[in-house]
Amino acid sequence: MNDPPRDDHDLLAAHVAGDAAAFGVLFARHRDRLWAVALRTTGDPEEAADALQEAMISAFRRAESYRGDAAVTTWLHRIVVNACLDRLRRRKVRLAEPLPDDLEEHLGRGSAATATPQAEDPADVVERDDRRRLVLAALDTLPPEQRAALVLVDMQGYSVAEAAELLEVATGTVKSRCSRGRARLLPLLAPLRGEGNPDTVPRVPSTGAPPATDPDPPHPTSTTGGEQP
Amino acid sequence: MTADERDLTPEEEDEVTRLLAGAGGPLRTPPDVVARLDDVLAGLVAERDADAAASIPAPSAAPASLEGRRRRRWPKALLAAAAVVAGGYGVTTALSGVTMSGSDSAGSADEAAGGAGAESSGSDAGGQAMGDRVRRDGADGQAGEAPANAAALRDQPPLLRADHLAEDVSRLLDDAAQQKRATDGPAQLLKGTLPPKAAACVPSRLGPDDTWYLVRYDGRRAALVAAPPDGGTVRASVLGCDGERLGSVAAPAP
Repeated sequence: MNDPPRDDHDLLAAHVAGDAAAFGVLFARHRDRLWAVALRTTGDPEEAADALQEAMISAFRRAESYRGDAAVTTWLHRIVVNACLDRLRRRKVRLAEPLPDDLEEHLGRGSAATATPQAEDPADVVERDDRRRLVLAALDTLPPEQRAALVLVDMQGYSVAEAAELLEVATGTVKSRCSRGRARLLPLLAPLRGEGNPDTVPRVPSTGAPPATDPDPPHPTSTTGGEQP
Repeated sequence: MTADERDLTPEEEDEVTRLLAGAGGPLRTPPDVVARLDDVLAGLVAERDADAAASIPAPSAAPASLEGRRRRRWPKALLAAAAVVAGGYGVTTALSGVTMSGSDSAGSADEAAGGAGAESSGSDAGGQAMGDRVRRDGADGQAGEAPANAAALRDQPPLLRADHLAEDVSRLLDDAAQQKRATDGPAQLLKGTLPPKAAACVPSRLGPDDTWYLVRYDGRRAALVAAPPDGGTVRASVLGCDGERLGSVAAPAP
């Protein structure tokens, strides 16, 4: 007889109790979503892998600090987002090169689940990848906090309230960051709105200019999850 | 407010949202990242097991021999791994004849990346992967014969904790010194072989009399590089497989 699958809380509790396999099961369950958040927030596969590893270590070691007042997946995402933001903030000088050439390769590995037709026209694939690359390059120009908010809300599909809980800020702060981020992105995404040719769009991230600091100081939060690892 | 920070119309805001959503969607974690995470996780589990085993009190009536104390601090499996590392992984450049100073960190990072890929298959067929051996003739590794202690090599290398670095390094050096005295010493290393994982984590720079050990530092593979004793102290640095300096400590010479 097969045991029913354990839920996230059970797995985390089992890990704290000494179950050697529980954390691996739990992390694997959410790994792809965590990877997506890390990759899109950092904009760099190596940075994302480092952040995800750092977050995993932190979660493994500090599982006892989880108090259960947020979903386990929220807790995990929060740790990953914090690891990404820490890394972005530490990155004093932005690399002068555009996004790594293999970013789309990384992105493409998981994009099968985005309902891409099996026999898609190669030209469409190229065009979609170009669009995606341009969006990510534009995102890379934003301050980390705005980027994280947009990744969570607009790209990962979290509600504003969920993103606020994840980022440990008020919902108004998330709305403000998203709104300001979108405003900054609008001109950069103009080619995708039929206002120009993507091939002629300047690669804004290649200027090497570091992103501005967050212009949106956090609002007093009413949604603190509490169990910051 | 700058021109690009003006309030967007609802239509503009929706359009940006749509473009971001179009670039979003599910992703699958690349296999090399999965392998790397699995590797680190295995290290964390081993580390926790070691901590748990170390916290078990020894029988109070037992004589407190040096060996007994050592065994209480180092669980059996770790002792075996430490001994293997001390005898098999510890390499001095003088003895091995490998000149490391010509390497750069990029090369080291490339090696690390290759190692991660190797570990991907290693997690599925670890025995096979670890059974293969790389003989270090110059900078290139070639498949060599498996040493007799291949089974022991499958154990985790010594674990170093960032928050107990001095203590852990001191212990490792003590055990390495004891192993050296108990065997024919590092001269054996002239013909020693390195497992693939160690080859992918070779420090890019070593002093002529430095000794290094493959370790796990907070769950990740790393190399501990120890300088020769100086005034009763050994300066040791922990280097990540990408060459990043992760920590350093001055430990009492064994």
